[in-house]
Amino acid sequence: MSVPETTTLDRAAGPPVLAARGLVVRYGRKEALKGVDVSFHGGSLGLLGPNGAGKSTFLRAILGLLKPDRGSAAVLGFDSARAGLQIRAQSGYMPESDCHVPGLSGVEFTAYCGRISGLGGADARRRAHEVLVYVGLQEERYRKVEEYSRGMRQKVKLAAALVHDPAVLFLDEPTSGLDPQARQETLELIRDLAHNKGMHVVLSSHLLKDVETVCDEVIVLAEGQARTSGRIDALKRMASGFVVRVDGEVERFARSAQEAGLTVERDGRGALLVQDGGGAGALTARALFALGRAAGTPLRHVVPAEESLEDLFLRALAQEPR
Amino acid sequence: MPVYDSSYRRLEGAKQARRPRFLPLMETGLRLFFRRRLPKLLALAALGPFGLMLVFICLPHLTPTFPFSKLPPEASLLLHLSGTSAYLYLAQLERFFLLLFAILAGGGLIANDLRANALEVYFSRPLTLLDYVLGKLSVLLVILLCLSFVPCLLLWITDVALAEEKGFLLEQLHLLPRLLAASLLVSLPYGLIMLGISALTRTARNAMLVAAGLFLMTSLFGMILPEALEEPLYQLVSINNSVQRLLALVLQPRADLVRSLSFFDEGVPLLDAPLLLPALVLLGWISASLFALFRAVKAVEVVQAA
Repeated sequence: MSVPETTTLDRAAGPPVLAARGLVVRYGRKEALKGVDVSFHGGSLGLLGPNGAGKSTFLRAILGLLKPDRGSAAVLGFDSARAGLQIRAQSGYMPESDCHVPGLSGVEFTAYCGRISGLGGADARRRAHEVLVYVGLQEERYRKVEEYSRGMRQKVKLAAALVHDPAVLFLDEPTSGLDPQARQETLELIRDLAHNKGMHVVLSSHLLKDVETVCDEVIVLAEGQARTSGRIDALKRMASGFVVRVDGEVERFARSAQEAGLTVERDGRGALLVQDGGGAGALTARALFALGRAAGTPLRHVVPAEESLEDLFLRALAQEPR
Repeated sequence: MPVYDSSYRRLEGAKQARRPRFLPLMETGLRLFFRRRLPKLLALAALGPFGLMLVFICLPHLTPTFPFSKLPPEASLLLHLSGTSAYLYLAQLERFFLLLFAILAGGGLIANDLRANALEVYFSRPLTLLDYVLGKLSVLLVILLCLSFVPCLLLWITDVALAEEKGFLLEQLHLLPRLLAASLLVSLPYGLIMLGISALTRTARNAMLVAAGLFLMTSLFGMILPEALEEPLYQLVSINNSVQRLLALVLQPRADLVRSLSFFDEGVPLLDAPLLLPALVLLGWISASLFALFRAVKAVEVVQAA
């Protein structure tokens, strides 16, 4: 079974929210990004990859913080290499590392971030209060950021990324180091922004669960290359066959299916996973019902089998680099 | 329905793209510095030399019958200080406070940002490296200009206001740009050198110690080397002496007053020293500071290769 290399993410006309063509970034002799080609037209995108895959470098390059050695990247139609300021004015970035401005309280820090993002003083202060309430720091907003716990610091970073109401929100490992409750709260906020508030969200993480909770689309990065990309639900379906339950002799149906060139696996609970041997995705439910009738074993349950994101991720990692 | 809607709301205000982007950095830097008690107290103390000069300017006008001839010779000389000499003398008196404030305010400007990883906060916003450096430098410039230019300006206004001749204002007008230039000449090197030192470390205290050491050591060398090598020009090894030499170029005070009031610590006629040398000394220190500054700030952008 082969993994689809790239699924087109075209969602609407107009410039994509994020696009990269042959993006290469080097640190000295090490190539951190080796010609990344991706396109994202809006919604919520997960940037998955193991540590060192190039996720942070990719985010920095598309935000115009790193100059690509080759290729190009654009956010909202702005070229990253030439219009980094415009990109950063319209996007919010929550870095992975712990960062703050010493001496400022939560509300001062958030308002300050608003001001350096182009808001006026009064607007920045008002927005700072609003977003801090939104992320759940209303009680602690007058305390110094240095005194915050890890979870609160993550929240204040999210508030600082949101204060100027960006069109696109880039989040680099937003749940790293959080306890389960704080992680759940953070993911709910991000999911709310992506699904209810009309904000485009790009979430970089090595935690599959985070991406699955928040994102509709995914790009798997490994060794500086985009191994696969597309809508998560489509990728899961495209990679699999059908789960079948048989009314009658299971073995007879399995034999018929194998004779028809299909791959059959037993899941141990009486169901069969039937896949097209060629992996071309040509297998249909109708064909399976016909096969069942022909074998004298009517089918009582046929649903498209879905892979877990983990399977998808592992398969993408196992792929040969292009 | 909740009284206050705590869900996310879109921005209703407008973004101001055109204003100088470094201004928020300057405002916040100043606010953070003067939030502490020590700078406020020191700022009050720094008003002392200004008050002294103000007295010497106002006294002859306010009490014409005062027996000035009975004053000690140095005080009497101060009463006759006028024009640029007076301002140079004030600058001399303020020099300690200028250095102190440069070190106190500048020590943590970059070092604290490096420690708290704040550069990620700045550079993920619509700010350039230049905006960042300008923002930090302007914090120091505002403080140092408040200590150097503002007192001179107030003295100038007082002097002009008390003058009896009608053409005095026009006669003295040329002093204003020279005073500003002189103040910038003091503030810029101190400011840039402090930023460079602050970028070398992640602790404000270390940066302050290094800066104090640097200014002290160069001053010591400026005193020892001319004696040891019997060449007065070696005084210019000292950053302070180089600044003073250029300051004298801009203000051009009366040489006799400069000598009799010991404007320069060593009493050697620095006014006669060539200009190229102090300019090169300061340029050297400024270049080294800028190199350290941009290197430290740019390095944050580079993710270490695994």
